[in-house]
Amino acid sequence: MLNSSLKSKSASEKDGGVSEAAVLDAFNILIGAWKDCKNTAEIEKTKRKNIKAWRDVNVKAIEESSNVLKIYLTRSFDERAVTIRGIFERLDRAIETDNLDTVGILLGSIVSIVKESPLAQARQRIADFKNPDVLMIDI
Amino acid sequence: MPLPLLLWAGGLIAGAGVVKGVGAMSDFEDAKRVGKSAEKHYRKAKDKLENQRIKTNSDFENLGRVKLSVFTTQIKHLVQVVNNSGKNARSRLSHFNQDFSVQNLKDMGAFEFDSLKIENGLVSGAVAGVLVGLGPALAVGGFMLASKAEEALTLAREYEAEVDIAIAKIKGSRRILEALSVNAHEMSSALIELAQRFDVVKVDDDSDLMAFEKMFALGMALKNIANTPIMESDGNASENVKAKISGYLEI
Repeated sequence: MLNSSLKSKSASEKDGGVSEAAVLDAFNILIGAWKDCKNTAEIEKTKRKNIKAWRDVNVKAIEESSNVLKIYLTRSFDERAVTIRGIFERLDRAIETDNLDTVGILLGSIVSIVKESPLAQARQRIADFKNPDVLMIDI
Repeated sequence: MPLPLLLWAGGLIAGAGVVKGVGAMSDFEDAKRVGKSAEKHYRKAKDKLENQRIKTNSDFENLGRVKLSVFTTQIKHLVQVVNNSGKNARSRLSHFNQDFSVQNLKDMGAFEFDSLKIENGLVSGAVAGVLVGLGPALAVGGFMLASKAEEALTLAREYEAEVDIAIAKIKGSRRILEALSVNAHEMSSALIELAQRFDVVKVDDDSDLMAFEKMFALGMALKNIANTPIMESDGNASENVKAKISGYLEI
């Protein structure tokens, strides 16, 4: 369209003036370009709004899971540290008093706690967090 | 529409087109800035993750060394004492080396968009239009440029959103690696504490049965922990953090 307008313009210029048709053509081209620009701006604004909503939903979901993990792991490691320290204190007393049964039980507790990965438990808590049927998460 | 009015209206719209074209340049700059800033944040998040991965692997190297030390000192002593007592004994240590890598990370790549090439083409076209006296061409070019700038902004925001999601996932993986480090420290200190108690109660034969049994119980606890890798039941630390487990030793 622009080319034909320019051609019209060139033709009229040969005659020494600008024809009304050429001006109308150019005007219509301008109007078309303006409308296209306006439409594109509206479409792109809507797209950007949707992108932002998509981003917010996804980031929020990931951050919430991550926060549950952080809270669970921090508490879990703190509790484990206290528990393990307590068991070692009792173990020392059992060793000193030659209480072999208690030594065995306490060593079993230490092994069982240390072998149990809090990360595995954390994954279950996150699954609970995402599950709408789970009403209470034991952290 | 009468010709003078048409020329007047056309002039107004053409002016708007030129203004749009100028404004588009600023939008392109915004798009570039958004994209480059997102790219920078992504690189920073990846660097932090890599630093944590190196630290976690170093913590696990230390844990591996503690496990080896326990095996070649306390467990070896226990095996020797049992062998000396007339019974045959042996021991195997495995899974004492663990190395973590982060997988399934989205490769965001550098921020680029094709419309920037179009931008350059349009700008040179518009400039050529001015040079040959084509006012409407410049105005139309301005509108087209503004449309392309809108699209470029959208591309930049899309890239930024993808980066933000990728960064949130990276932070999650970093948290897993941090937890693994804490877990490695916990296991190391449990082994060291048990080894210290083993050394206190250790005997060189089974003549004192009570003392021998205490040492035996501590030795078995040490062996049990030393043989345990830190991971989940599926063999990994998490969805994105994969563990490579190796190491085998026999006495």
